[in-house]
Amino acid sequence: MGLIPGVGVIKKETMLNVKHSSLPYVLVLPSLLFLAFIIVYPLGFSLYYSFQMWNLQISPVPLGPVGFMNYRTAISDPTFVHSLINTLKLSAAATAIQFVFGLSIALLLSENLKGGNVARALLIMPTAMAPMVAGFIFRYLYYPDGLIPYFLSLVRIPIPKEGILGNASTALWGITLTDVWEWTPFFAIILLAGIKSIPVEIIEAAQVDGASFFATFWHIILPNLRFVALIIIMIRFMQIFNLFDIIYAETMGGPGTSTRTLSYNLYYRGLVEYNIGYSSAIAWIMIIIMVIIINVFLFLSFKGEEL
Amino acid sequence: MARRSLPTRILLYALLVIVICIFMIPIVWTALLSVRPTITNRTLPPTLIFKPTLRHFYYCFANPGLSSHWLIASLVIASAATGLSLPFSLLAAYSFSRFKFSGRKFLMFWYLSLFLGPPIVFLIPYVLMMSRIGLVGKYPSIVIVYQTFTIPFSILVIKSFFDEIPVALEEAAMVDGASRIGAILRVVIPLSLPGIIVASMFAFVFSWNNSIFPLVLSSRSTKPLPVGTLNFFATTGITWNYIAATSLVTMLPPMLIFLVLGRYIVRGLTFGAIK
Amino acid sequence: MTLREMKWAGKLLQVVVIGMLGILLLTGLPAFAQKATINVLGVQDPWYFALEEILPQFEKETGIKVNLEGMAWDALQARLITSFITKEKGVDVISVDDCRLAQFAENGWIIPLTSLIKKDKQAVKMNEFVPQVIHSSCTWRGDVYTLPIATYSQFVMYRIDLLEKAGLLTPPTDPADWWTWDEYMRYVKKLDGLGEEIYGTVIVGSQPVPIVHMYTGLEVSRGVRWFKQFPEAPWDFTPTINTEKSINTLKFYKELYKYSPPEAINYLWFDAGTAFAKKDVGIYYWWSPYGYLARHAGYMVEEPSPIVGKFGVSLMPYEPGEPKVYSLGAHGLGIPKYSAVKEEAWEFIKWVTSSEGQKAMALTHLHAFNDFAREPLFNDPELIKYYPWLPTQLYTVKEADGKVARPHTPLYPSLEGFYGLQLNSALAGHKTPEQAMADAQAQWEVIMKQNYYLPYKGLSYDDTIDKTLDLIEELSP
Repeated sequence: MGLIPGVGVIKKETMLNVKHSSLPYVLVLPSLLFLAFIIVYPLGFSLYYSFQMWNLQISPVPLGPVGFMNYRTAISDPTFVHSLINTLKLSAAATAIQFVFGLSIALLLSENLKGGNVARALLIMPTAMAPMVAGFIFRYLYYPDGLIPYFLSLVRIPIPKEGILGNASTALWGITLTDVWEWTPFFAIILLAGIKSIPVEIIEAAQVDGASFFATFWHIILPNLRFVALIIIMIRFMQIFNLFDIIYAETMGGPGTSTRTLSYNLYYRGLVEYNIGYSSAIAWIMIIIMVIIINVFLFLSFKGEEL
Repeated sequence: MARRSLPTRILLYALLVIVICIFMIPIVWTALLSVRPTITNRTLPPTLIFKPTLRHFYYCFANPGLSSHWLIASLVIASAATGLSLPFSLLAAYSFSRFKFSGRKFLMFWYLSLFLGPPIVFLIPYVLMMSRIGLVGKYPSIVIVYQTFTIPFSILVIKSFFDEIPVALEEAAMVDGASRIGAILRVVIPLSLPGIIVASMFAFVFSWNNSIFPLVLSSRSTKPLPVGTLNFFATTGITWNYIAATSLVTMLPPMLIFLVLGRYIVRGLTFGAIK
Repeated sequence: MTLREMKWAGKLLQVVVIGMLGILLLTGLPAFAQKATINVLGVQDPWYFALEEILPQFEKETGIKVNLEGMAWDALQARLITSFITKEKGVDVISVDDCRLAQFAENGWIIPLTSLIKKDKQAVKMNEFVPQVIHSSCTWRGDVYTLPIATYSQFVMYRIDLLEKAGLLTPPTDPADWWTWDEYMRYVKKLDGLGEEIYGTVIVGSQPVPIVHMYTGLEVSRGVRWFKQFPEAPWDFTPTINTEKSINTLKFYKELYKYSPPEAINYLWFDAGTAFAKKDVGIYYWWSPYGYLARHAGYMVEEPSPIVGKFGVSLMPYEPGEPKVYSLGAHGLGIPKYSAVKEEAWEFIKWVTSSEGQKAMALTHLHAFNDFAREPLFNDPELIKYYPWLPTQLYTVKEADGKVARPHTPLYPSLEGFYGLQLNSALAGHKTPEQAMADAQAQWEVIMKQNYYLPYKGLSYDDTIDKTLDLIEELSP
């Protein structure tokens, strides 16, 4: 079973047309109310205080409205801008790398090798673990006397003397590698399912026609994977965009601010410096950025298709 | 598929082995770290032959056994968060699956964005909110905030399972005199029970793995495993063996669950979008 | 809906709701187990472990039960601030790192202890304290807010065997022979590379906080000041760190890093101590607890380190032409405003900070505590037996002024955070020292202005050592 791209996923035989009943809304109401309470209220609180001066370092109570000052400070704060750039770099690079590797592994697994099922089962293990635990593991592996520098030295790739996580230019790559290690199997398994769902006849027909592997890949497999790929790319991009756990476990945003992402910066401003007003402004800027990104993705992947 | 030539097959198998090694070595290495004598922790070249010891597990889980507190907390939080989400998600999932009502797409998009959004954004005001009612550090505040991803997730995944059950079955039941609620209870839910269990197991794993909420909201007695492990990273020295032992226990349940879930992984990890 | 269906649905709904409530209640149960005792929150510094050991003695003597909870430094700050905002009643005694004192006191989160001390002069014996400690770390606007449980000064530690090998004389322990920073650097250079893997010194480079703690020890003795006028009144918080002296100090620190292990740029507090105890480091300066910590193979571990008996302690260097001022850090015990058992909390503080309490902590089985603030303890022969460098340590305490080294304003955390980033960048070579200081100065101005500190809109208090001496006399028996 799979998806047939282009047709969408309307399942007429399972939909009920109950135009004038309030039942659908009643059923959705409990979850909606519950979530609205635990989300909308804090977000509203946050929006309100983003226009106030409230820094717990200097006063236990808010000190009055200051218009857009917090927002202006955020945009002109070099740390915030740097964290935005870091986050974008990280998200783009990590997603791209995971996708390429994941696709390659998916192609490999689609060759129906013996032990492929065992491989699939083992491969998903990194994805199963908590990101923070993956962060711990890699922090250990990145030590100057750890496994990764050891392997790198075997192939004569030098590492900086402060260690991978200790050098501002390599630290972000260290974080990227941890995330790539943890989530490439995610891409691999799902893309594999996507590949397997392509009707065998199409592929065999192409091979009968003498198409090479690369031609089959480019003209048949890739287009059929478009829908799946876009969904998982969107999901992962957003997850990496919000990345916090791995950074907290490995570098705490350092060295300097080279691994400080938007989430970590917000955490630092709000829960370490306790500048409530300022961190609320940052939070809302993040929300706006996030909504824009999700909308772009949804537009790209669901052009005209029904949910 | 055409049969590959022998050299190609050998290459493919070699690649497969390499791939498996890449993803397994860090895990195996951590397992080794949890039973190594501390002296062999950081040697160059790495020590592969050593006399394993269970001392670290004993320290973590028996005496003084800090990790066992965290283990209990993880169990309580993940179970409660999963359990609490079920009634809410079942109802909403049914509605999304069966009814085409206005606002449906917007609502589903809203739920999706809830767990794609940065948790830190509403964590700070949530902490202030919870602290005003004195719940910071206690289980309810953590379990409640977990609903921001367990409920939307469960809704989307359970919906995809409901979608597979033809409406005709409910309609048949209702024709027989059952009410809609009765139809839900006696037809839809039993038939999709495997799917509901799958969704719950995923929700359990996500709750188990979550570290950012308890980082701020938990106290000494309610700390789950990932956050508790941070204790071993004291600024006065990092005890890697304990970290490895605790991390091993932290990663085992989700891995086991994923093993059991097998073919449902794709659906679960893509929140029901792909089957 | 038929009647039967309704009953069915109703029952199911009840089960679901009760189930949910049950889960929530069960998970909320741990909240209800409270006894009438005092809850003490502290950072897991050596004093914490020493205190743990002597707690039974306190409980037996006073009958008050103590719940001692320790955590890492940043976790503690977060926990404390949360408890203040939430007006939590269950926190009775807290350890206040002196650089946070101003914030806690200014916000009214901890109560002044002055009146309590007045009623109990005989028990507290304020006159025994080295006045610099009280001045630096325990007072704010003329009130005593905490009593010190652990006082850290900074001194120099060196490897006797390595110095011998390099043909260097032991550094001074007598103030009459005080030595200069240039001489210190000469020692570092001579010791570096003596043998394979021997480093001249080790510094702490991790940002944002640890590097500032070590750097300010150097900076303050070379005449660098953070603000135009503080703590003398009227307070002027114009930052004054973009000066030639300051830039030269940063260059000096950078050079010290050159002779340190390269990973030192990410070293936290204890990493430097570990490096000295385990690797081969010739000489370095750091907080005084590292004197006794260097004797152990790990933190709070019995096993001795490889350098036991091979290291010595000496005075900090000074800079000719500048007043001798050094950094002081202290953890003081204070009482939160919302505690419900303030009397018992006060009993605890008195007991633990008394001579008897401090001595008991020093004589615990690990002998890993000598962070005194009371002068008689430094001269106690029984204690000198275990901590032979106590007399030297006393000099460094007396020459310290924590309020000048790390000015305790409520905004200290933000300032320190940014400063640490700049220092670390300069160390890593991402910025020149000139650029780092200029950026630090500029950002500090922004922070101060935004938070109504530049110009200062509040009331200044003339916080001089003389005023503190008067206060101490007033509170002494």
